Amino acid sequence: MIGIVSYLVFFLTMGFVLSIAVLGLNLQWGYTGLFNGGVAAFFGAGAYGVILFGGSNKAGQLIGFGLPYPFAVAGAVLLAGLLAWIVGLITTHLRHDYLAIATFGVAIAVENFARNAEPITGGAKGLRGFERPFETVINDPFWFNLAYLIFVFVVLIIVYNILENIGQSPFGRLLRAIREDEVAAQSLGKSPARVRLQAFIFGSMIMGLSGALYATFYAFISPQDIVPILTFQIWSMLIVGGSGNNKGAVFGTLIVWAGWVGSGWVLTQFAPVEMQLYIGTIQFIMIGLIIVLTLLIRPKGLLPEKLIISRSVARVKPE
Amino acid sequence: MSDTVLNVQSLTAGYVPGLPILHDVNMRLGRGEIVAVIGPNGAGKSTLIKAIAGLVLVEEGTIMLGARNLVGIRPDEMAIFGIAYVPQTNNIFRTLTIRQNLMLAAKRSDGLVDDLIERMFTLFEILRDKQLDKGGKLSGGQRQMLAIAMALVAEPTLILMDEPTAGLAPKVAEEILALVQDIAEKGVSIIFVEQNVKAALRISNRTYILAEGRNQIDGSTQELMEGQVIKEIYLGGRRLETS
Repeated sequence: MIGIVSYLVFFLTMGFVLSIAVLGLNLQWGYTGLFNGGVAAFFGAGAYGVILFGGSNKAGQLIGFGLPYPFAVAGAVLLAGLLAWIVGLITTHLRHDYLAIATFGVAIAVENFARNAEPITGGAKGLRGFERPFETVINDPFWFNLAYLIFVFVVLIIVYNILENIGQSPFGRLLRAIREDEVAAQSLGKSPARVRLQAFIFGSMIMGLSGALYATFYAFISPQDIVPILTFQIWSMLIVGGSGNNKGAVFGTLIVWAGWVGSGWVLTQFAPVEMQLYIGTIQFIMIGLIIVLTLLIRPKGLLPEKLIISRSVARVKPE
Repeated sequence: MSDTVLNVQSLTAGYVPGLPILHDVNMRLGRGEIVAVIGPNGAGKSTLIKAIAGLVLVEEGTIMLGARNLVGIRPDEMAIFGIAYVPQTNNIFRTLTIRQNLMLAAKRSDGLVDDLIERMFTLFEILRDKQLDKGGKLSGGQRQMLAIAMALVAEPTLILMDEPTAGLAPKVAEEILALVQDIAEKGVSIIFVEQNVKAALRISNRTYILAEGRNQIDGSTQELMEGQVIKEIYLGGRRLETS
């Protein structure tokens, strides 16, 4: 029984961590129409950032600031934001497909940097040895994981509420206007370039936060955690749930994540031994199929975007 | 004539550097004046108002708004100078409510926005009842009304309209043109591109006829109506010879 509960705790923790990244993508794509094909890069910046800022120097490693956990997370989020600012200045003026290609290239570059810059990132072996929050207080792994689940859930609620508020604010209205027609927004005196960059940076910082929580959970990060399939996983979660809808983003994450871990379990239990080597490949194909089928059958996702009426507008009742 | 608000001189502009659509175009506009820009398809009418709105590359010439040259100013900065541009299509946001469209267009962010929007609803009663509907649900005429209301809510001194009556039923087109006149009477200057020559001549103070990207004929609408050229070109079927 405790094993099932432990697994459920793991499942929900990772589900909530990934939900945060999907919410960041929803701000970029769902609200603003920015096709970020490099989610893994910003997730990775946050993941590496939290261990670099929060961890201590190991032998042969150049960086390790040993900062208290809140500062390490803040540093990780800012690192993701800094990367997004640099990438965004160069790429956010590009249209959907070109932006996707450019940011995908950035993700590949970040992964390769992580794999090769051994003095900073630990190279292919990754970074480990990081004191997690509450770890000294809660020694039992089960209770620690449960406490961490609650912590991640609280962070998810905070991020969700911030994004809901943005969606209802004049800024959210402007994001959706720019998503729909940049020239029309420009003719109303709005600056699409500036606003797209802001959304790109903020969404990427949220992805960085997700990465930081991910690395905190495992107290470990390696290039294998930020490979391109992560970007497609995050995208499939948003597409399945419904872009433009934060509830859909979280719902889609949990559905796809359940499909991912469930399929892994089913394949390990029931697939022939000679197929076991290909479980990862089968799961990759599954992600591709999910994206294609959702786009064909239910292109707006399970919970499509709803008309967002800001609070000031909702006060108005037509006669 | 009334005070000059806008003075376009020797304007050469186009979408691709080195391939101008407009050549040496001149135009002026007084306060509260309605200026119509007419001409055959491909004459550069829409390009002219897009150039004034900062959406088209200006290669030569000046666009003076009072003492300020607008050449080189980004389109999103035009609103600061009191210029509103109403595109022919895609001029509202379909996924936002009517009220959100108006709030987005307003430059103010204070409590006066509600008053401004209320004034728009007084002017465009039909929009009041639909204010919480998505813009995409509006008919063509209602969309055009919303687009004009969005321009007005920014409190402009100059509105540039690209074929405000295109694709509308004649009765609705009449309503829109009557609104254009009402707006001008309140002191707002208007330049509008129009395919319907009769309608354009009826409501405008002055008219510019473009062909192949150049000024061909311009003057007060009264003069043009009394002359033979317009009658011959638009009623007699004579082809407009370019200079």
